[in-house]
Formats: sequence, structure tokens, C-alpha cells
Amino acid sequence: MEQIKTLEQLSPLILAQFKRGVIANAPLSPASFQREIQRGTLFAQRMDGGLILLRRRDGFWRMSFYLQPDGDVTSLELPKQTVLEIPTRPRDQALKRSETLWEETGFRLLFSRQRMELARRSDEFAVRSDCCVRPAICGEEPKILRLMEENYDRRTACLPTDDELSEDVAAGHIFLAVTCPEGQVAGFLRLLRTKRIAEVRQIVVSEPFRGRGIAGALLNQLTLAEGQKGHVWVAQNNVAALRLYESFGFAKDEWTSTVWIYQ
Amino acid sequence: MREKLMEILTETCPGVDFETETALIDDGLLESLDIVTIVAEIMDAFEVELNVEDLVPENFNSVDAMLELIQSLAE
Repeated sequence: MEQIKTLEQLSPLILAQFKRGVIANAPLSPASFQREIQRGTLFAQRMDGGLILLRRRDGFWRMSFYLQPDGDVTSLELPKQTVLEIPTRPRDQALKRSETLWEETGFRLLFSRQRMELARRSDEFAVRSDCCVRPAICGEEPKILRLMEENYDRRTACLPTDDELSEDVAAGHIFLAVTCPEGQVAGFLRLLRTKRIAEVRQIVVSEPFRGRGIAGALLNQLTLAEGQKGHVWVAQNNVAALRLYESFGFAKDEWTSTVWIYQ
Repeated sequence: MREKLMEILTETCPGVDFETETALIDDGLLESLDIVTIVAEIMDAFEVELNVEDLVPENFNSVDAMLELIQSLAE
């Protein structure tokens, strides 16, 4: 495994993979590569007919791959706690088939996700909660981080870095549910907004406050601008979340993903 | 060149209106998985070599942007 220290070092490795029939699970943008390089967290491993890119995190690794039709993954030496996500649509059949290959390599399926899309909010969605919802303000990041850590598996939840969290708070993309009049933080919603997409990245209600309509009150903050669509990825076994999103107006789209771990 | 590129694009992503769309990436009509396939096909068909820095949305938001990229690499 070699550490990638410059884009110039990375470029030929990736470009060598751009051949007819190549598949990839999570190609990164040049800006993302640059960020990983600056943090010293990007590593590569070559193999016959493919390339593995590993991003080092606190106690685990995130993996991306480029694989040729004749790629041989048997020689790979992966670090323990490597997490791999394979998003596919029905037409990504070769990528879907690669799951068998990774399973044979030693990856274990953790769970599957379903993407849902929102074109228009349901008129019938009603909020019944005694909590107040307001945008998070600068300085509240530790409370949000604590809730994230208590409620998510860091390896699979795509949680923001400290910097990204501060940026999200400053941009008004994080909302807190606060009990009245005690002022306790009961949950939060984190959105990711681009020109065309408003994505629910995380929504959390702390255990003691569940069953009080707080998730609905948080989700109610999701507004769509003209021409914008809503997206959310939901674990397929999270029936309560699937129901909540459906009642808001979300519907399953063609994307699913599988999340794997090499232990 | 345009015809060949259109052939690659419609084969990779059937159903997308490549003639008129100008925000293919920004609007989510092309995904990063599609870009890998398209770049592999472009490099093969036009015998050009891209750099990682070229893999930005601006270069793949429209057919014209992709043609411009191919032309600049071929020069």
C-alpha cells in the first residue's frame, strides 16, 4: 500500500484504469482527492486489472475501487476495518455482480440502503410535536457531535468532519429540536444542499425523546426550492424511517446500495 | 466527433436528452459511476489521455463541454 502525496502521483494510477468495461464504486472528485492528500489520509494499492483507494479514518478505512473485467482481487492485502459501499441502479449489473467477488475476498454484508426521492411534499404531512425546531448556531457543534456519536456507527454513516460540521452550522444546514421550556437538545437534522438537490444526511432523535413526533418536526424543515429535488438514503431495515419519509412525500427511486466490512 | 460522442453517451445513459441538457452533472442526470464509463470510452474512441484534474463537473455538464475537453486534449 502506498501513500498518495500528490495529484501527479495519483493521476497515472487512476488513468490506467479508464479502459472499456471498467467499473468503480465511488469515484471521487479532484477536490476530494486533494482534501485527502492534504490530510495525509489517501493510500493506494495496485492489483492485476484494478486499483484500490483507501481513505484512512479514525479506527477504520473507506475503500473505493476500479476494477477491469479481468481484475484479480485475490492478491489484495486490505487492512482490517475496511468499509466498502457499492451503490447501484438496475443498469449497473457488472458493479452489482462484483459484490460476489468482494464477499469471496472476505467482506461481510452489514446492511443495504435504499435511496428515496422527493419531488413534492405531501399536503397531508402533519407535525405533532411539543419541541421547538431552530437552526443550530455556532458553538453548538459539540452537542451535535455527541448526538452523532451516540446514534450512528462512524464507519458507515458518512458523518462530517469537525470542519465540515462547522461549515454546515454556519450555512444554516443543521436544525436542532429543543424541548420547551427546558431547552434540552432532543435531536437534529443535517441537510446537504446543492442547486438541484436537498439531501437529508442525518436525522437523529435522542432515545429518551422518541415517539413524540420530533423526527417529523425536524423533517418539516426540508423545503425545496424551484427545480430542486429531495434525496435521502435509508437503511432498508429501518421501517420507521421509511414510513416517515413516505408520509412526507418521498418515494423509492432506482438507487440501492450495499455496505460491507472487511474485519 | 460529435456523432461518435453522442453514440457513447446514449449507450451509457439511455433516456437522457444529451442534445439539450446543459447541467448533466449538476442535475444528477450523469452520476460519477457513469463518468468512469464515459471517460474510459472517450479515451478509447478518441485516443486522448485525461488527467485527474479534468474529472470535474464543468467538463461533463454538456455535450459541448465534453467536446471542448476532447478537442483540447487532442491538440
